[in-house]
Amino acid sequence: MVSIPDYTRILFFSFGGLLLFGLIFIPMERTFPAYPNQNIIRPRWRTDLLFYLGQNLFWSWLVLWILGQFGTWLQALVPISFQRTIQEQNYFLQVTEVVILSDLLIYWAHRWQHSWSFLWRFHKTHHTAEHLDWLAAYREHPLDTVFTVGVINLPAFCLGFPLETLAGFIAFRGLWAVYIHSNVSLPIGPLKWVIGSPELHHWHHVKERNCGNYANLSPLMDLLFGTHVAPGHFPDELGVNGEGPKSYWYYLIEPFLPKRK
Amino acid sequence: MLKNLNKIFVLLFAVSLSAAFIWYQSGEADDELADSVQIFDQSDALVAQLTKVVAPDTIKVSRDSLRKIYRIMWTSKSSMMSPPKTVYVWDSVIRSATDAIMLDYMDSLVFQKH
Ligand SMILES: [Zn+2]
Ligand SMILES: [Zn+2]
Repeated sequence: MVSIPDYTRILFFSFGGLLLFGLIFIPMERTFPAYPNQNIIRPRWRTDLLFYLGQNLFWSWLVLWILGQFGTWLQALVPISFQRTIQEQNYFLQVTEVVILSDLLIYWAHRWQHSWSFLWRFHKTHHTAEHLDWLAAYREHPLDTVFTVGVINLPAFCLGFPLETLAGFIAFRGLWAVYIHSNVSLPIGPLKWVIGSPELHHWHHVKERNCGNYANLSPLMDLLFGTHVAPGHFPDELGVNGEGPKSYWYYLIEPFLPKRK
Repeated sequence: MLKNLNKIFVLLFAVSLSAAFIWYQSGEADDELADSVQIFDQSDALVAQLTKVVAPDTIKVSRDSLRKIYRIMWTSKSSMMSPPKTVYVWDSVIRSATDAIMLDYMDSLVFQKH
């Protein structure tokens, strides 16, 4: 009845994903570079590769386990009759609700990750990258991932949106998160007021902790709540103030170390 | 001119690969859903145990519940990029489905009363 963990499959998906994303983003980064002097093999790429492999081969178990515990519990809180009402709505209405709700939630959750020092301890890891590209998107402390993935899926957990509504959207959102970290500059004209971009997210990675641009998919939430930052070019310096590069293993334990003076 | 053609080609290539990825992930979800429904059907012990508590009709209805529970599992794991089939996943799909059937059953009792 239960199957043995299929490691070949896990390996296939992890390395297949790496290959696929490389195929999508490396030509883009070479053709539309935001920082033309940054090579594909840039400083600290090995650290980010370890983050990618760690997340896919190992940490996803932990994240899944924690979310599994929460998901069942959360869904039990919402009456099934209410979930049915959601499921009976028009498909496009459902999609719109999922997009707006998850964007609103992730916007505020991301602001807390920056303002609340407990969450910042874990989220800081993501900001230590001094060179951004598609691979740097994976630089995330596993417990920071638990928080983000949990919040992102909260509407789905609670409201009972059907699989059909979510499947494509989730895949798109995953790809988008990689795209906004890539070393790509694609001018999109007036669309920049409704659709997010690598340029906006690079400003989120400047050395200041209250840097703005907390939303991912669309800058609307940042515009609405006054945190939109768009000087019209890419920033010069990225990273965290006063932080030098550390090893993957150090980043994993760093949030648990006592605060330095 | 040639440079622009190159740009258009790279863009089209990236967009089509991305579209293929999204399409594959959605399909993957449907396939795994079918798998898990099948596993649910095959688990005679579970069905036998459930029929002691609920009417056989409820078990048919519970396919919807399974779908609902499975969605949670799928949502969380596809956010992680690699969809691993694990003991944990199947085990909790079955366990959660059992819970959901009970919830649905209780829900239907309340519904009948009104
Ligand atoms: Zn941040
Ligand atoms: Zn980022």
